[in-house]
Amino acid sequence: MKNLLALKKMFWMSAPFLMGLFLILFSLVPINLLPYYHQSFPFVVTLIFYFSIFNPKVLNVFLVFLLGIINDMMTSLPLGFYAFGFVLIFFSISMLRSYLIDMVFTQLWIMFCLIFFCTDVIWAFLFFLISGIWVSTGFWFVQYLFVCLFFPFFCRFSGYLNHKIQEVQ
Amino acid sequence: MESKLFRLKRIKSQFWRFFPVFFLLVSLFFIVFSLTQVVFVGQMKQTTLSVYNPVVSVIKEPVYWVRNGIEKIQDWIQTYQENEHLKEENEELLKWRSLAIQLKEEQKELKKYLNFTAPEKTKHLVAEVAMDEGSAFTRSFIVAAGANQGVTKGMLAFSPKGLFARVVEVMPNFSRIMTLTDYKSRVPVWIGENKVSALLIGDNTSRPFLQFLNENETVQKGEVVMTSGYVGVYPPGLLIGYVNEIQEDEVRVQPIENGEKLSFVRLIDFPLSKPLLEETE
Repeated sequence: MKNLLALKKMFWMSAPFLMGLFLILFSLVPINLLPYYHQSFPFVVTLIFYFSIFNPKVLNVFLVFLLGIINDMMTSLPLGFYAFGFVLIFFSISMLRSYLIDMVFTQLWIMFCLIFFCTDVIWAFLFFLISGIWVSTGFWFVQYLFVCLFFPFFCRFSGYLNHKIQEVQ
Repeated sequence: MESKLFRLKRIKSQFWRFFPVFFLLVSLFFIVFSLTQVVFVGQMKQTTLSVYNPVVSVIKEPVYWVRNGIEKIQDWIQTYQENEHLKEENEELLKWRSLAIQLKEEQKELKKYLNFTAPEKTKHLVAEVAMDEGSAFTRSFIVAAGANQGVTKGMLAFSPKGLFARVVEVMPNFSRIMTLTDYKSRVPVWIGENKVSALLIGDNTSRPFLQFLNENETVQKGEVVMTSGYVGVYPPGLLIGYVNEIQEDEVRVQPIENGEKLSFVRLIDFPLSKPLLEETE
């Protein structure tokens, strides 16, 4: 019984990381959400955003970095590209946590859009430094818009996960 | 004593607050490292991909199930329209067929007068698209066929419409194919009937652009763009697309295929066109 409880606790404690891993793998499935272009979306940033504010211990900076490296391992981009962005989100939130933690959902959504915008701009700049090519504004904006639009869904889901974690903690 | 403890606590909290900076620096180091140690990082990625692929295969089953359902409904809606279109196309193709038969006979006769050697037969295989890593930053796929299935680096990937990608990395059971629209893609091309030479460069948009166009030669909108075969990576004469937009300092090409919504690709090896130069990617 004790073992079962420990196992349950371990499962829920590792759930955000596993969920992040699932979202990364899911983004690689050739699903083609858009009618014309094949494009994957880094929905995992919504999860990182939520847990960096409300439970940074279960998705700490090391795990965030690891998620980034795993994402980089699967793309043809240089290792550390996504990891840099993910850790940047974590870091900016750790600086603003005291303000963010008291915000209502709409304010959080706006803040997510702002922080993700900055990260996406930095990604685009980093990509320019690596390749010498500016990313297509259209693709870049579609990627940004989709992730921001799906934020409420992933935020609710992360809220549910966090609730379960707090129950077992 | 208490103030010392308090100060220590403050230092500790500040340390943990700025701890992510360390990981930011590590990420930057990794970026520089993978740009300099391309082969080593490539091998690492290949090993990891072999682990991930079976997991992605499991995840994609329910996704495909839903996607196929939606596509079936769309197909039913479009059937009538498509049927009309196919009838027209069939008539057109029949005309072309008779012309082809005529030309084949003519070619047979002409070959008799030439010291002609037929090119080696090409090797080809069909592979399933396993992962799609298309994003604002990259345009490539992972296909479920690798060295064990006979895939070699440099093979060209075709959709039913035509050429759209090239094999750039081969793992035992998987390969990475890079589309012509990827930022790393460089294809020597000919444009139009005058065979104007240029380099087709991908920039992650759906329409790659032309570079090194001769200033004295002009290209027209709608002209055919095909591989020139220079450098040897691509054989000459493969249709890529059409000139789509001409601006003062930029010519854009609309490829015949972008690679979206593909479940399978045909990989073809052209023995006559082995790369002369080792790629630097």
